[in-house]
Amino acid sequence: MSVKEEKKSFFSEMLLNNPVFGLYLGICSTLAISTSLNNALGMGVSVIFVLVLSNILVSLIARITPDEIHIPVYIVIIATLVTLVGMLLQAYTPELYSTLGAYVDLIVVNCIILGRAEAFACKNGVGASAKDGLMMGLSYTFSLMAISLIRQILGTGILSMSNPFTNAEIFALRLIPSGFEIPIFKSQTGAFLTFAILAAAVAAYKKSIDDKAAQAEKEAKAAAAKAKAEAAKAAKAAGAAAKEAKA
Amino acid sequence: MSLSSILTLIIGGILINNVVLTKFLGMCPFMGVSTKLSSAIGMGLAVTFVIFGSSVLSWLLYYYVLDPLNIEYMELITFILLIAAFVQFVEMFVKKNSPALYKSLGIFLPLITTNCVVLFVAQDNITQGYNLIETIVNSIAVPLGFMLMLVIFATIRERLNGADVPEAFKGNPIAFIVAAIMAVAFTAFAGLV
Amino acid sequence: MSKDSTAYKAVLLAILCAVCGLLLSGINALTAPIIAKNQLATVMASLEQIYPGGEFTEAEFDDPSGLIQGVYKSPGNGTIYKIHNVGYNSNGFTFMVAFNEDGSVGGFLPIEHNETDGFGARCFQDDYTATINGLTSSDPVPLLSGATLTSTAIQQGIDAAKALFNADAGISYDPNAVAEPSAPEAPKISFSDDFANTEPEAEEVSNDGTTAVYSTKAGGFSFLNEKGNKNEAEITLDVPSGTVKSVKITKFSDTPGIGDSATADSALKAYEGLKAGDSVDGVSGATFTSKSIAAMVKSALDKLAGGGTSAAEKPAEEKPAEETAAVTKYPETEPEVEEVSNDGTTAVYRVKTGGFSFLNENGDKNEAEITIDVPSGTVKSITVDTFSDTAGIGDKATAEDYLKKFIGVSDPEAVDSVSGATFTSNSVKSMIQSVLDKLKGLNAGTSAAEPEAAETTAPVETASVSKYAETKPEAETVSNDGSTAKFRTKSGGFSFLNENGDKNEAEVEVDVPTGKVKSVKVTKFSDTPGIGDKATDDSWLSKFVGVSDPDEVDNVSGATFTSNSIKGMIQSALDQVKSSDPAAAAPAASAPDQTAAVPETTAPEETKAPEASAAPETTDKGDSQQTVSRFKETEPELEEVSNDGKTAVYRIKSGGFSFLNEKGEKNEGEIEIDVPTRTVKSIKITRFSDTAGIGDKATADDFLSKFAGKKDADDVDGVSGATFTSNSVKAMIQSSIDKTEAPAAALPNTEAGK
Repeated sequence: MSVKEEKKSFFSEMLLNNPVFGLYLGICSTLAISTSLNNALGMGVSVIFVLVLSNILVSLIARITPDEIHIPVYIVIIATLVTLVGMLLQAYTPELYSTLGAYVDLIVVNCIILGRAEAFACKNGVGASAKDGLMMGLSYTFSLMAISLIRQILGTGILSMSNPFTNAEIFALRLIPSGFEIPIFKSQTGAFLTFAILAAAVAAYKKSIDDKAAQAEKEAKAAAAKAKAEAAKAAKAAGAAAKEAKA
Repeated sequence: MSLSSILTLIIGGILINNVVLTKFLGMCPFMGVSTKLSSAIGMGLAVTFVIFGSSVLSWLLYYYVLDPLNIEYMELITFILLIAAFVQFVEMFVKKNSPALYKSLGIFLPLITTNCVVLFVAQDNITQGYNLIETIVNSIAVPLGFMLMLVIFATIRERLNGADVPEAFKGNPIAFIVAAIMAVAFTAFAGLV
Repeated sequence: MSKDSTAYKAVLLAILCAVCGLLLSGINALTAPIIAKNQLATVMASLEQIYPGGEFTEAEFDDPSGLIQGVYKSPGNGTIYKIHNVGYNSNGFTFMVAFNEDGSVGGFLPIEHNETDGFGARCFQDDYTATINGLTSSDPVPLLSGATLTSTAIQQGIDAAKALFNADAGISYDPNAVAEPSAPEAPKISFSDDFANTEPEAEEVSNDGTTAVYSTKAGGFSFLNEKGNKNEAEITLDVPSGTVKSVKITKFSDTPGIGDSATADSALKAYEGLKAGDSVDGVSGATFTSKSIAAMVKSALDKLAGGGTSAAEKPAEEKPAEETAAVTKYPETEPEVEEVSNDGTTAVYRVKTGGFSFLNENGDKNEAEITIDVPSGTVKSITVDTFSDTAGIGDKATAEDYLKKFIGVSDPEAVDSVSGATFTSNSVKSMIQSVLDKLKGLNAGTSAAEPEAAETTAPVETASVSKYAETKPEAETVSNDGSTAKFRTKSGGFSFLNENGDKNEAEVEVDVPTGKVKSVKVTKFSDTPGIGDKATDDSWLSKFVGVSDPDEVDNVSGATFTSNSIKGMIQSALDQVKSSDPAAAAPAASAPDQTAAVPETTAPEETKAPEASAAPETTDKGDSQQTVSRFKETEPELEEVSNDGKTAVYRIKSGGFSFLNEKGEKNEGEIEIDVPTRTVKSIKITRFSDTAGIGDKATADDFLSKFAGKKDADDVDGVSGATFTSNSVKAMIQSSIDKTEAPAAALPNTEAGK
């Protein structure tokens, strides 16, 4: 594939096989965390960390793990990684940790992680598993940031980010004048709404892609049929001509 | 341990701080299961039992093993293992004693392990510092709230099936819109206690 | 072993768990100290905010409520309590409250909360935190209306901290007890002392050569420390001997439960027979009030000696109380009287009045049934049905043997209050007084009585104010086209009368021909939200439509002050209409309508009486600023800089919030007026003296620019929330405009048509 096509497929891959909007996995934390860009990034990075490492470890250990206990084994690995991340967050980025709260621990039951471990990592090599983990993690983070962007801008009017380690503000832009923001987006209702709209948008996009593909297929089929018909016609004509010639 | 605080826990757990609407937990099975009323009720009861059992056990584990040994950081691992083991146990029990129920629950029974609500309740009991009685009450009230949501959603979605929903919203997106409206509605309970 | 054997599985799991466990314990060892340090740092940061530079030690505590998360003691400063409770948001909130060593609140610091903006979150903003900061460990924590859940949770938390603190400090407070710890001996006060700081005033009420009666005022604790009202008394002197015959306190403005021990009959008796130059024992623990009373007595004695009445003041038909058809005494107890039966000989009443519980804790009133002998106007019997005050303390005043004392009495003041149960005693006395009043026909209706009118002893102009004079109503005509008159009115409600707060403001429309109210709209509510605002509800206000006498509408029960305030405003508007000659009513707009210009009392017969102006300040300053028709209270000072016939430039000062309420500086500005059209060209504020962040909205360019091209300052609406500064700015503009028109002559004054 050319560079452009690769880029395009990367993007559409992110969008269409998005674990959040496409497969509806890992929704719990997505909705809860997405109130600000900082939180989204913090959570996203944690998930990537856990996902990549767990995929690697699972793919390493899969061979020697008997089937019956594979679930507990994977769970222990993932739980260890999550506890680790939690400790590190609590020590070095306490603000972020307190904002994420219980949802850090809930990464362990994030369907994405266990799902990828079962579906992919245990069947593939380390490198591939790592890449898969990274891709999934990135698209998860990407969707998390999309929701957060909308919720933060509409809900508080300010787009801001701060350094999680030092709490220093990196930037803060007021995009909606004070008093015109829509606070409902900061609440649970807003989370559901944003999610629904984005999910619908992705579904629509997906559908249009599918439609296009179906359309293309249809046309290809029609063209093939047409060609076949033409060929048949030509053959017929040739046959007739030959007959003619004979006669 | 007064009656009023118990009542607060119950009403709080079911209505005011409903896990689904205020904490966004239990969404995965929520979206998947809540299409039929009968499966919703079955799922709800199964979850309630699992949460009750595993949370109480977790509480005991924490206060009698982890805390005295000062290895609180093992909480997550031990809890989730306990939950997985408990679910496994329940699965075996149901398979043996009621194959019909086992069949109707299907894949969702083992999936309860990864239901956020289960782990959340187990950990929340510790975070909030509840004593055993409060833990028991909380562990029953919260999943009941989850079940309430499942049931309400199932009935709404059954209706939605016949409604004229825009193409892009069909399926899960419209369910989320419904959830949004319910979230607003349930904020009315905030002043109840 | 094979992969499938149980042993293998067990071993695998065990190894895995061991490895993970070790890994985690390692990381834990690494991070735990950092985490602990972080937590301490965040706590330290908060602690430092309350007591900067203090040393803190964490203390053990036993808290049954479970709300307190940490106790930190700081020697030399106080103790800080970290509290977590759940208000509206289920995640709860955390805050710190500190009590200084003397029991006062040293700080209130929100740490984190998830409450809703505009509702619970208001509990963590300056207005509310300021009220908390003003409390002590003995005070109840106020709730915030509109944020009930959150403020209740805060109240619970602080109460838990208070319990711990008071237990530690050994403080147990008795609400009815006299609390002043200092000044254990009775202060000795001499009439030769200098009472200048109490600003005594004396006015001769009557003097028949034998007995002279004076109406006096002097500042006590409230006046001196909180800029509150003065105390007032009626002093009777024996003219020949120049001695005091009696002292009767008519208005007590100091702290109930503390200062009022100096107003007890037993204390006042000490003055009898004294003359100029004598000394008297004050009441220990009530020094300020004692001095205030002594000052009043002295001023009366001085007046007698100096002879003559002070000129300008008028005759005393202003005798406090009786005249004005209001409750004669104890207005703060808000008595409610209901006649049960009256057969001409015996009258039975059910009465409710507020005691300690009602006045201090917003609790219920006390209730009693009182039987009066109609011909003699004396009490036959009194039974207290409902006692709402403090058991063991206040109920001494509802005991049979105390109540017995009132039998045969026609003035409840004849009976001493029960020591240590002042509030309840007053409540009982108030019940009896209100019943007696009702009998005399002085009380109108069965709803809560009107607040006392003692303040109206002030200049007589108020004699022409028909009612609610104590609310000091002000009415300003906005427009009057002969058919509808619109007034902007102000009048004091609970906040103004009791806490020296702002008045309420309203816009009242009156139908001129019939003199009936067309509409009432409350524009500024200064009383207590959740209590007084019931009287600002449209459903109640609409009752005034078509009414020509506000008394036709019953007060809102429980919101008496605000109800009266509103009635006062309506009455002042109606009075304006009655007094102005409809035919002469100038059609609206620019020509400043002098009929209402005077912010003082309505329908003034004489020229201005500076007293009743809006500002608590006396605006007595010889008002030579005749250039200003309105906003007199801002005392504008104008200085023409230049006037070339086309453009006039003025430098001008006028008082805003700071000047009027805090005796601060005036605001200053520079204004350009276009002479031919008498419109504003430009205005620039050169000095802003009011509150930054609040009043300065009215000095912002976008507000000032609204005045460009205007002929009348009132064409522009004031900035909401910055009324004082807006008025100050408007005053500057209006006086500039006025000056431009007739720089030589003084503008039409109150003389017009009055």
